[in-house]
Amino acid sequence: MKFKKIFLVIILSIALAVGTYAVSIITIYDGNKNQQRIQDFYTIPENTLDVVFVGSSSVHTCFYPTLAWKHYGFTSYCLGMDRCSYVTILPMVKEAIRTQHPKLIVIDIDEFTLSENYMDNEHPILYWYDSVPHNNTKLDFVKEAIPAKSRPYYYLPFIRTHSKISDNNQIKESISLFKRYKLDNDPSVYLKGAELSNIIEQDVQYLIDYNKITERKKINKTAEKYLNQLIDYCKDCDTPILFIDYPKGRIANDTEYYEKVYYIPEIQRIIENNGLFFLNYNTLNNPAKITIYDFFKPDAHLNVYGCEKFTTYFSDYIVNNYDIISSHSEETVKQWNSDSDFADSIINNLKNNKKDFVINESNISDIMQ
Amino acid sequence: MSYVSIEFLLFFAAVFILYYILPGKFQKYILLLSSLSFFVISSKTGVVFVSVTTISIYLLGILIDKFNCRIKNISKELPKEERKQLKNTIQKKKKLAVLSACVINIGILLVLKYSGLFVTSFYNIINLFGVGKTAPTIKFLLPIGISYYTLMAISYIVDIYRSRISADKNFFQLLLYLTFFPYIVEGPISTYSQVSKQLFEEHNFDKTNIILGLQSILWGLFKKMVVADRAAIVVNEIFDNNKEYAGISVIIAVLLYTIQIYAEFSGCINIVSGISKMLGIDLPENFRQPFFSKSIQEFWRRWHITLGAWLKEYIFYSVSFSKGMKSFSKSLKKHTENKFLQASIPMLISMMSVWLIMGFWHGASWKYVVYGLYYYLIITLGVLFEPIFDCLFKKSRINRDGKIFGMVQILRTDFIVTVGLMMFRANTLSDMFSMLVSAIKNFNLSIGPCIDAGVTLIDFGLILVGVAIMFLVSIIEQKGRNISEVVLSLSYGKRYLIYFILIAFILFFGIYGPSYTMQPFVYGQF
Repeated sequence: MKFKKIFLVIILSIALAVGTYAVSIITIYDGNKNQQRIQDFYTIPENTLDVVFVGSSSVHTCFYPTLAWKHYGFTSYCLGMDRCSYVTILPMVKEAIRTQHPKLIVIDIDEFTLSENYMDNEHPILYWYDSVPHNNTKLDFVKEAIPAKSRPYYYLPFIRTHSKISDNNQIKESISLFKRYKLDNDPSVYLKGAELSNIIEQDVQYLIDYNKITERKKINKTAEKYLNQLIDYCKDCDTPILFIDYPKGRIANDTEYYEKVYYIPEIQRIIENNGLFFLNYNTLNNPAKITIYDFFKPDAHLNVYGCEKFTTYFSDYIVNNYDIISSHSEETVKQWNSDSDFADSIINNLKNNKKDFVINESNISDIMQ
Repeated sequence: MSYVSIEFLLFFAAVFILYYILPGKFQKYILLLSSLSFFVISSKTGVVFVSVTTISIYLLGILIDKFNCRIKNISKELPKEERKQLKNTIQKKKKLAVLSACVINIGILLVLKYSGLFVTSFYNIINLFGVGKTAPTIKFLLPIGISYYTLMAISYIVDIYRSRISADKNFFQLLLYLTFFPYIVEGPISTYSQVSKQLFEEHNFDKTNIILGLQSILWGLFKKMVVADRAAIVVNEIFDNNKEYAGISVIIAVLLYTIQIYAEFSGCINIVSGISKMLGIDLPENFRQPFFSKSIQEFWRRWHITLGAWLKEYIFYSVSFSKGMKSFSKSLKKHTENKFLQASIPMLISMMSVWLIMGFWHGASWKYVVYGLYYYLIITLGVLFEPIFDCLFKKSRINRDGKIFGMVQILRTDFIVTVGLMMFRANTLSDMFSMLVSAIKNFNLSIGPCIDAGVTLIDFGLILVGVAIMFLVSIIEQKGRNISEVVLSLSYGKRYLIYFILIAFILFFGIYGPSYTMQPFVYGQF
């Protein structure tokens, strides 16, 4: 009798645990485009990328990997997140090296200008965390960056994702993504992380002459700590690392961006003092020859026209300065050729469309209808 | 520290282990230490005020007890007149002592909780005469459970005054009585005679108590986390942005609030009763299927029972048997020969004080006073029109004992209560009236706005399932069976299946985690 009782409790406990686990691994999938961009990254066959771009929204709005493939012959991926937190940059770099062993990693520095209270904007952190397979980098990240009171829902994501069960649309989306990433063998990734838009912002005051900026601000202590950790890692790393400030348009009345520029010289100084390279595309020298008009969209990032222009320039810079061109397997070449053909048709549709569009991997069907 | 938090779970686990591991003679000290820790964690400096309350009732209790002894020990050999005079003198001192205790403790409550309201009201009045001054902002940090332990302190001192109990000579026992962590936040308001023996005696580890306690906690968590907090999402949205909603959405929000507050308050009482049960302590009952009441009076005998009992015992009786009321009754008898009025008017006057205090106790806002008076008005009308109703029912030959009439009475009572709770929840009285107007004047059947108010159809389905389960449990209890014992009597398999279903409901559909905003206990704010 006693054995029966224990058996019953064990069976019910297992049922509960299995149910919780099943819900947990499905509901972790979110329809958010940033989360999908990271999940897409993990579907790319290992060791097939030559360059990985890491950082915030500038990463996926300024570079267009299939164009670089077509014209310069290197494979790349834009591993960017809108308002990416500086705490996730180092683990993102580590993951890029672990999975792809790329020949170059380009790191955007924009996120180091963000506030000290990085947990106030926790979404990008969670998007990254939920998309990465379980490994030591992920566990170390929680110990390092997540305050103790928030750790339970990192270790047990069910605590925060169970709310999706009572939302029909969310659960459907999670199931469909779970199917795509876990059950389907060949999820296609055409834009390789890029997000392109056909919107043109005319009211842009481009390029800030850093030499004319008299006010220079120090980044906050926490951002500096994470920047230094990243620099230390990069110095010891076999993979070449390049730091960059991508071109941004300064929209009138955009005080946030105006504030940000004061921090850039200080970040540049820290990076260069450590013997690492920093490229600044926001100077009056305008090395990428981005003209003010037609190349920006309203959120200060490049639109599809600016992105094409910058991709060409930056690819040229990369192949001329880094040893990244290598031979890829027949299968990889075939996949990239096919993906870039499809990406071209996406871009053509985007350019010819009179409606305003922002297109990324998660909403390609909208423009292809 | 919320009862529904990991911190509390760990806290209680530590208390529970120590409580049963250490020798029984230490149990009350463990309870005292844990209660004080809970108080300090939740309220920090508030512990000063509860200490003042304890010291005042401890000293004055002993003093009143001494007066009681002196009255008892008045020598019968003394002449009758002298005995009477001596008794009167001691009685006066006794009254002074009990009055002092009440003034000290109600004074603390009034200053901390109501001074802001009084000052603002004063400035509002003088501004009517064109003074044009802005009221200073007065807001004190309220000690946790001040409204509850103040009533308990008064009940303690009045019970000694009435010679129902003797004063506790152990200060720490008295401190434990006032601060016992399971009931400090939301009650039940327990009298000294109800809990003291259990609090201070030794308890052995009793498996049945543990199971019953856990069952009660599980049931409370289900009501709070699955039903109440889910309903709160819609309620908060619609009540806080009431101008954007009309018609059926407002009506749904009002009904959901009734569900929310019942599920939450009774759920909290289930949790605290379960915690106490696990420690071997039975707390007084606070809810007895209130929505099956056939009248408002009955409703208040079934809803927040311990508050109703306190008001009856310490306000209604005190006012009814006061000298002033006695002389008023006498003069009423001289002025009218109508026996109905002779009995009803003094009772209604005493009841007015009860309902005023009941309303005022709930919060520092005049809307709560109106809330109390609303019930008073309903009851008064019921009492005054009773003879007319009697007459009407006799003439129409309606069977007042019939099931259909009973159902109508229940629905009528629930309707009155729901309107009352609408007043209770609305941010202001004018909000309440504008909601009533928009519900009726702009009536529509579109539930779309409700769905957009932060929940989905599945959420509504879950609330309905929760309400159906609560209704089923209420029916079983209404038939005189205790649901905890019913579950305990089931076969092992069925019982564990019920436990696991409840746990699964809480885990999968509970409102917790960073995706949700967990609601603080409504009655915990009083």
